This record gives sequence, structure tokens and C-alpha cells, in this order.
Amino acid sequence: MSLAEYKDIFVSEAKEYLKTLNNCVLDLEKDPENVNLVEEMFRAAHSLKGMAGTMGFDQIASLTHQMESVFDEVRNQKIKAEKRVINLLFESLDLLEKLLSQVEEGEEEEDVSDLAIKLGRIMETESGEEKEGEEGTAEKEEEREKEKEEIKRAKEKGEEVYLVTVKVDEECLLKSVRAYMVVKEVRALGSILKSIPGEEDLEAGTFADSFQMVVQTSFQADDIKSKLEGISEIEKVTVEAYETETPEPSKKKPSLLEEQQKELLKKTSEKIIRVETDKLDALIGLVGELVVNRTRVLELSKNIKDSELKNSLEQLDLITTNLQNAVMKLRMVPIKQVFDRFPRLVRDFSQSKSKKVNLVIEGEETELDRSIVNVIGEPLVHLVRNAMDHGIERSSDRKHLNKKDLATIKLSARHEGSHVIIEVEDDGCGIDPRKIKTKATEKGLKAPQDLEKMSDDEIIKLIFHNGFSTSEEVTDVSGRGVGMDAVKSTIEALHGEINVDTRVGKGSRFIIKLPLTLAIIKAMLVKIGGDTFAIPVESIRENVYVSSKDINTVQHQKVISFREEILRLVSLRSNLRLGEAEKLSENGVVHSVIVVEAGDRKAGFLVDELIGQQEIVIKSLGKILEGLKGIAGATVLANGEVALILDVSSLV
Amino acid sequence: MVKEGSPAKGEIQLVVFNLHGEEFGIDIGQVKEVLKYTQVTHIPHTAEYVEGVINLRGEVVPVVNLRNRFGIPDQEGEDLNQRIIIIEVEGDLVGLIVDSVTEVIRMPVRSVESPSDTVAGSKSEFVEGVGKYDDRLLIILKLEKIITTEERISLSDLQDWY
Repeated sequence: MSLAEYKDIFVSEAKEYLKTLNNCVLDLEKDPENVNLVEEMFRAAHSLKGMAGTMGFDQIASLTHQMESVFDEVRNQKIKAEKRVINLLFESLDLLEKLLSQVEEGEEEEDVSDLAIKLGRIMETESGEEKEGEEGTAEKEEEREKEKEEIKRAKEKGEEVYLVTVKVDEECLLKSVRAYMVVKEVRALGSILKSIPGEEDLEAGTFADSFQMVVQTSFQADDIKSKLEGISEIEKVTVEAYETETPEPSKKKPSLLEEQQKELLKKTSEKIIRVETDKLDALIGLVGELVVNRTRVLELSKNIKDSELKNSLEQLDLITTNLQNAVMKLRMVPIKQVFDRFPRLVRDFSQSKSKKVNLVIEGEETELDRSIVNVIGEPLVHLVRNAMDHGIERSSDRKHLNKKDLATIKLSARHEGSHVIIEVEDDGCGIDPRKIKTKATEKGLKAPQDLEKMSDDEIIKLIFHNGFSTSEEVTDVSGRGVGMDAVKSTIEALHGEINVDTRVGKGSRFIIKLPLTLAIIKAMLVKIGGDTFAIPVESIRENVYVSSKDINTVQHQKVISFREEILRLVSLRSNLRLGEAEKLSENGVVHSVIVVEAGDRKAGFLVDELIGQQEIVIKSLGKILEGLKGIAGATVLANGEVALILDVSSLV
Repeated sequence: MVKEGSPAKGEIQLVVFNLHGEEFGIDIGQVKEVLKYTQVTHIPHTAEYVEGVINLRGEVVPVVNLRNRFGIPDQEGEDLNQRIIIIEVEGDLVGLIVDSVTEVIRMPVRSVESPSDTVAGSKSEFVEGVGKYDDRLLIILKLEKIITTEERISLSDLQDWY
């Protein structure tokens, strides 16, 4: 493995630790007495420090070292997890995140000594009275008493109690076997009073490279040592007298050891392996090809009358479908990855403004395509910020309105058919259509007489219009006027849609509907001017046949009436320069029209021929052909021909 | 793929192709493979010289017609010698349609003259250099430039300066 690959692994693992730390600090703020949280943070900081140290990222290592010390003080109850400590910890986490991105970009890490000194100071000011950090709980005390008792009894019998530390060779493959042999050998010599980790873990091999046992025996220390060292792949054995009175050897030394155990246990229980996304994408691409080729083989076999061939092909078909489903699941990740950043965002906001906001997150386990997860973050951040900034009233105003002082923002996700629905809901002031009207007139987005004709719903939809921002003051949180239309276009680029449901004085709810996956879509194949094109079924409402006499002209635009609506006809031939436009005025000719919908716009696409529906694998056209008007990508058809996928939203 | 081991130090290996009677060379390191002319799917709204896309074992690869790129009229009728050279430009695969691919040659680096040594023509930025091979002159193109700029280039521009 090259250094760069190690770096990638480091960065991705470090990011996970950072996430854990962030979440823990957030929880700690709410529950400052929670020792488990501090333990978890300590472990995360410790692991991060170790990793950064090994990789030579000194600034990360030194900052995490200071944080670790702070956690230690909190754990020993020398300092309290009060606000200034929490804030300083958040500050450190932000700096760590910055450092990490510097590492990722291959830049020099910036200096952390300022913050490290602050962290140091916070410990000094608190630990003035230096309480004895005796953490021994009653239970531990009891245990120790029991142990003492046993040792005493052993000594009465003329036996000794030793602490045996065994280190297994690092290269050893079957640690559990070696551990078993050691345990067996020790049992032959005496009895094991306790082992660290427990015997079950020893049997499973879930320990780092060393473990300890407290052994009661009539043999001498040297005898035990030589016996155990006789076992192959055992690197080192130490046998020392075990005394509970001495400041508990099993407490100081194994504390590190036990930590390692926990770490290891956590890793094995996660049952996760890391795979580079490139490798995953390659696999997914290949399966896509397989799917396409299967279709082709099935088509070719239609004319062959061979039942055995048919049977095996059916099998192949089934297996390929299952494989495709399994591989598609690999692309899916829980939306938690995106939602995780919001508690912090909301917390920081509540601190800086006089608004108290409670964030409720639901359905964070909902899975969707990784490529969607990567892009959906920004729009959601925007919506949540908007809700906090414009939606939720100031605390004082809320009192007047008889609303609860604590405002609520709800972020939720759920599956609905082949879609994922994400909602951002607040119980703030809602969107007032009158305000939107005034604003729209001011900005010159619509003429006043047009606005009069529009329904409230239509008016509210104007917030998605380019260059619209209702906030009276431009804040650092939101309101630069480029917001909602950017949100809308990002979501539409993902083949999704966004809607808003709002009631003045009650609150607003933004509803985002996204497809589950982007890699394979169902498409209608059509012929236009001799070429084959694919239209995503997602955006197709209906296929209709219209004869020339049903086509009217309104302001130089060919239209048809369709379910009591006037529908614009789009000639793809002329739009995509695929030869002569259709002769729509000729009598007695029937045209195929595909009714498509993108956002709220509908149109009828004129096509020459419908071929049929098919699942297609979306391929990008590469950098050179990026950003083509009207074309969303390409796909390879079963016969090997390349068909272009139409970008419906830019054509209607 | 045409490959005859890596060239020795101080030597370059060129894939030689023909366009309108002129000989060109591409460094073999840039060439992924050479295909027979195959069906190309036309793409609307692109520059004229972008012939379209082809299916290269499931990959969709854009194809540039070098004749159109340099303002040479299309050949009449079907030419069985026509080839598509697949090259890699900035991590992406691109196909180049040429009249024919003739051979792979090795030549010493010093027999390649860079444009700056000669009278620089207006479009010399598209030329890496000119290789002298026996009494033949091979124009070695800067393919990245040719594919990524929209600027018009004509064959005479390339010939102008040598």
C-alpha cells in the first residue's frame, strides 16, 4: 500500500472519529454528568491521536492529545462539562476538521498551539483544588475485597497468586488457538482466578496481542514462565506476584489494554469492511453491463427452440436480477450521514440568536443512493438555515403569539415507493403570500396584474424563482437571494422535485421527493429522425396519438388540448437539429406524442416511433461533452448501439 | 493494442496516421487502442467536428473527426482504411477518426524539432513538434489542446510554419 492510500484511510477513519466526537460533545452538553459519553470521547480522541501520530500529522496529534487530557479531567470529575468547556471543545473539533481537510489536500497543517494552550488553561483553572480522583465505585471496591480474600486463602494453602502477562506474536494468525493453549497449560498448573479480557474473548481471539491472567498455583513463577514460553508463537511471558494492595497492577496497566480490547471488540462487532468507492463503482458498472447483455441474449434466444437453453437462460436471468438488486444495495447509504451535521448547526444557531430551537430528526436510517447523499446536504442545510432564520420567530414574539418558547424544526426521511421523501418542517411564522406578492412586484419578477390572477399556492412557489429573497436583513446565516432557486435546481438535477406546504402563523413544510437511485432508470425508447433516444419514465405522464386536425396554433406555437389543458408541442427534430421538422399541418397523419412533466411544466414531445420501455444504465458523456443542452447522458442498448438520454427539464 | 515494449531512453515511439495525404504522429503512450471505423451515434448541439459517441465495450466514448477539426472536407464514399484511434486526454477516453493508421515507428528524440526552434506559425500552439524520419516529416500534435479548445484550426495552419 502506498502512503497516499494510507492517507486516504486515515482521513476517512479520522472523519468518523470526528463525527463521534461531535455527537458526543453535543450529547454531553445536554447531559454533562454522563460518564459513558466521556469514556467514548476519550477513546475516540485517543485513537485519533495514535493514528495521527503514526502518520506524522503532528498538529492533529498534539491537539487531540490536549483534548484527551481534558476528557480525562472531565472523566475524573476534576472539571465540569460546563458551557465554556463545551464551546472550547467545539472550537477544537472545528479546527480538527480544518486540519483534516488540509491533510486531505496535501497542504501543511496549520499551527494549533493557541487552542492547545487554551485547552491547557481550562484544566489549570479548574483543577486548583485537586481532588483525589478515586474512581473506585462501590462495586469495584467489593470486587477487590473478594479478590483479597481469595489470595489470602490461597496463601494459607501455601500457594501463590501471580499476574501472568502473555504477549502473542504479532504475525500470529490464530490468536484464539494460542490463547486456548496458554489457558490449557495454565489450568494444568493451577487455577485461573480471572483473565483480562474474559475467557470468552480469549477463545474468540478478540484481543490485541496480549492478555493477562491472575493465576493461583503451587508452582514457582519461573516454572510457569518456561512452560508458557514453550508454546509456539508466544512472544513474551511475564509472571509477577499479584497483590491487590499495590495500587492495583490490573488497574493501571490493563486500563490501556482494556481500552484496546474494547476498540477491537467494537471493530469486530461492526462487521464492516472499507472499500474504495472507485472499486465499488467499477463493480456496479460491470453489473450494469451484465444486465444489458442479459437482455440482449434473452432477445436472441427467442427464435431458438431449445428448452434446455431456455431453462438455463431463465436461471441466468434470475441470478442477474438478484445480483443487480444486491449490487444496487451497495450504493445505498443511510441518510444519517447527511442528517448528522444538523444538531451542531442548530445548536450553534440557537447560541448566536435569541431563538430557542429544538431539532427533531426522524428516519435517519432511510437509505438512498450514495451519489444523491453526496449532493443533498447543501440544499438541506439551506432549508434548515432558512427555517431558523426566516421561519422561526424571535423568542419574545413567540410569547406574544401564544406559542411555545422552544421552537421545533423537524427533519425527516422516509421511503415511498421508489422514492425517498425528505421533509424540513418548522413551527414558525409560515410564508405569507402577501409579503411574497409585494416582494415580487418590488423585484419586478411579475407584473402586478399577473400576480392578481395567481392563486396563493402559485404565489408561494415564486420563492423558488431566481433572485428571490424575503429576508429584510441579509444575515450570515441565510438570505443572499440565491438560495431557493439553487435548492430547486440541485434537486431537479437529481430528478427530484421540491414542494412547499405553508400556513401563516403555523409554520412551513418543505417536501423533497427524490428517486432511490440514479444509476439504472426505467426509460422509454423512442426513434426521432432515425436515431434512438431514451426518455426517463419518471417524467412521462402519458403517450397519446394526435391527428393533424387536433393540432392548433396559438401565438406561433403548436398546441394540443389534453385533458382540458393546453399543451405545448415540442418538435425534438428541430430542437435537437435532427432533420426536417414534422409536417403537422398535413391532413390525415397521426403523430405520436409523449406527454412529459418537469417541475410544474408540461409539454408534448413529438416522436417518430415508440420502441418500448427498458431499464437502462446511465453513462456520463465525459468532460468533453459536459453540459450539453437537452442531453442528460447516454446509455448502451442491448444491440450495442449508443442511445442518448433526453434531459426533459431543459426541453419542456 | 499496438505495443512493442517500451522505447529506449532518448527514443520515442510514434503511432503514425494519415490525414488528407499528410502524415501525423501520436506518442504511443497516449494511445489506448486503434479500432476499425464503427457506428457513431450523433449528438445534437455539439461542435461540428464532434462526430458523436461510440460504444467501446460498454463505455460511452466521444469521437472527434480530425478531418472536420482541421477543415478538410469528408472523404467520398466509405473507406475501409478509416480508423478510430482511442487516446486518453486528462483521464477521459476520446476517439479520433483518421484516414488510416499506417505503422508504429521509433525515432530518436533529437530528430524531433519543437516549433519554437523554427519560424513559429500562428497555430504552432497545436503542434508538439515535427519528427524527421528518413525523408518523411511527421507532425506531432498536442492532442489535449486540439480537443479541448473551440478555436478553428485548419490543416494549412499546421503546415504553415515548417
